[in-house]
Parts: sequence; C-alpha cells; structure tokens
Amino acid sequence: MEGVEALGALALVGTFSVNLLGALALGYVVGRRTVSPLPVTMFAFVAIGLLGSFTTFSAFVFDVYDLLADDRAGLGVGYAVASVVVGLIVARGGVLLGENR
Amino acid sequence: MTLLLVLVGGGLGGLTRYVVTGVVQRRVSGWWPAGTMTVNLAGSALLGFVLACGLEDPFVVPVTAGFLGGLTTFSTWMVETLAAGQGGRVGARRAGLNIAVPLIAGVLLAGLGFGLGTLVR
Repeated sequence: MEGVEALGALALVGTFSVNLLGALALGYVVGRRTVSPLPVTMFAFVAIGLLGSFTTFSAFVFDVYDLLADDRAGLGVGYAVASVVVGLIVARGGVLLGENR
Repeated sequence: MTLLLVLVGGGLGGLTRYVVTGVVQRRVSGWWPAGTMTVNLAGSALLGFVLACGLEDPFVVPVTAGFLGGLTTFSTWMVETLAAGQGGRVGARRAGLNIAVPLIAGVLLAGLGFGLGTLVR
C-alpha cells in the first residue's frame, strides 16, 4: 500500500512538473511572438501541438478528484491552488522573458 | 509498442483539440476561451470514465496519457487566463472565472466519469 501511495505521489509531482514547465515555455513563446513575428505554422506546431499536448488538464483535475474522494481534501485543495497560482506566475514570467529577449 | 501508441494517441488528441477548439471558438465571441474549456472538460470526464471502466492493458496508457493528455491542456489554460486578466478589475474578475469554472467543473466531471465507468465495468 505504501508503495502504491508513493507511486501516486510521484505521478502527482510528474504532472505538476510538466504542467508548470509547459506553462513557462508557452508563456515564453507567446511573449516572444509579440516582439519578433513567428511563422504561423511554426507557432501552431510549437504552441498548439508540442506545448499544448505536453501539459495536461485531465490528469490534473482527476488527481484533485482522487485526493478529495480519498479524504485527503487538504492535499487536494493545496495541489489545485498551488498548480494554478504557480502556473499563472510562471506563465507570466515566461511572457516577460519572451518579450524582453 | 506502448511508446508508439502513446505517440499516436497524443497526436490524435492534439489534433482533436485543435479542431474542436476552432469550431467552438468560432461560435463564441468575446473574451471567454470556451474552446479550451470544452476540450478540457470533455477530456476530464473521459479520463475518469476510462480509468474506472476496466479498459484492458495495452490501451490504458495510450488512451489516458496519450490521447486524453494530448486532448487537454494546462499551459493554454494558464496563458489564456493571463490574456483574459488584462485590464484592471474587469480583467481580474474574468481571470478568476476562467480559473474557477473549469477547475470546479473539471473535478466534478472527472468524478462523474469515474462513477459512470464503475457502473459499466
């Protein structure tokens, strides 16, 4: 059981990491595009295809549901709030980085 | 083999997201990024369902991590929320809505999908 829980925690960290990394990178690409135009097809490939697919909303909300259903509401709410707050901050940071390149 | 199936699933998911987002967004004018919310909520319900319904082994990971991971997106949700949040107090309220509504609905739909999946197993 402990092994299963450890695996669950590892999956949570994995989802958290790809989502934040993807939000940062997408922010960067979007910010960069405002200062130096990118070909539309290139933008579609990187922003929609690569970075859109890299991150996941479904695994994120399912993990939150799973924690809530498992009576670990504190962790579930904390994970949801942390993902969104840090996600918005790193996306904004990415935009600023891209704009100032 | 699993890796290849994940690649195909992710590609199909991303393609579906691109098409559905375009179709929905053309019908909804204004600031609300309804296209992204549509794919994200549909994907959340489907993920709950697929995880509960007892899908057999070579297909679980390609469908969940591949197709549904590709269909739904966290990064676009964040960047669209930043865009909706431009412009003072109105923007802040819009950003708040674009976070709260998909988040709460997504968790509920993931649970609903999971419940339905348990029924058909």
